[in-house]
Amino acid sequence: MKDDPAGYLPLSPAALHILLALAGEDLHGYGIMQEVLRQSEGCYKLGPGTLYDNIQRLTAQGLVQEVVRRAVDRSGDDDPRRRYYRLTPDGRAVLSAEIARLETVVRDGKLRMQAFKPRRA
Amino acid sequence: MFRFFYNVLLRLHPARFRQRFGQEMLWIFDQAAAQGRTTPLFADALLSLWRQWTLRPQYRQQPVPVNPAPTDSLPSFYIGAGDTPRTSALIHGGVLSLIAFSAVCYTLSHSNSHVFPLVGSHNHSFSHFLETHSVSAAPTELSAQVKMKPEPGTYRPSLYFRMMPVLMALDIDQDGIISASEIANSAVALLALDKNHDNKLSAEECGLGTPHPAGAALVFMRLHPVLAALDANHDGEISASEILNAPAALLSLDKNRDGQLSEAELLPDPAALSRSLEPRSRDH
Repeated sequence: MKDDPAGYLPLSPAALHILLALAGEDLHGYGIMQEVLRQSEGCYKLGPGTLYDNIQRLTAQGLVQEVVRRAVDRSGDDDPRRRYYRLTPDGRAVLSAEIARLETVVRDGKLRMQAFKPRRA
Repeated sequence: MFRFFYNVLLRLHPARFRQRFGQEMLWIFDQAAAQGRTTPLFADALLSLWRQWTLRPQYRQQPVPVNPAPTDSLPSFYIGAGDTPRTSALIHGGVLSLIAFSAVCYTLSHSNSHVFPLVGSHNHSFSHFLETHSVSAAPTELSAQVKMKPEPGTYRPSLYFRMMPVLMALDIDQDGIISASEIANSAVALLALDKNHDNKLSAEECGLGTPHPAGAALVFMRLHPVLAALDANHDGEISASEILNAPAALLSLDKNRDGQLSEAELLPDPAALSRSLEPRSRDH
């Protein structure tokens, strides 16, 4: 990973949503897709190809890691083909930096919108 | 059917991506198929295919990470090979194959200088065996035969074969047996005895010594079973048509129906010999 998390910014929408989905718990690919759909209230549908392309890249960057689950930790309906992914500390730092950047963008945007609010005649 | 096509699309992905994520993507497809929403996945797979081959060359070269060993008792498998083997592995494989092939060829080419016992079903080969020993087995089983092939040059034709130019000509491989193939080629072999090129074999050309008394040719041709069979019309010579008909004539001597003629089937029968000589003896 780069020394400065800001070096990864800005994140692409897919990478941001994946990191956000993994911020709460370890998830498998389908779980990430469902979580992204829930977070975006159905606006952002992540396909498997896009998902695993991003996971491949985020894993190579050290922001996400694959987690091997023991059989005893799997529930009865847990398909053995599932692989779980976890946000690494570096990934959490990058996500925090991205959220802070977005907060700045949002705050700045709100200020600008208020400054240019049209006055009533 | 849709799953098959989706699987084909996955297989078209780079090997590293496919090995790492293929099963998961297929599992997600299964989940989506259960809900009847597979069409977007095909578009996504096509886009992913284009993206992996064009925009992600750096990931195709990296080695596939080895999964840590599971802590439970389930076995795990590691696939260490990519789609194409390394060039050095191909060269090593080629060299090893060449060495193995050369060794087999050398062994085969030098294997005929030893005596090999052959165990198998009967009538495997007709011409390269001398004696057959049958061993009785269970009634429902075939009898086993052990046949010994003599070393080349060690077999000496019997006295009878040596005194009969016809038999020496027919027995091309000089093993003392007129095999099926030698019977089939008998016409050509007999023509080699036709010294005066008249397309027929006289008794002299068949081995009758000269000078000989009158009528000896007929007796000679009738005395020896092989000549008697070949000389179908018993006129004392083997004509061109009889030469052509030699294979069928020789097979008439095959008493045990094994498709070949052993010396026992070719030797004159003493009783028949005496009977054939009696009228001639009385004539003289």
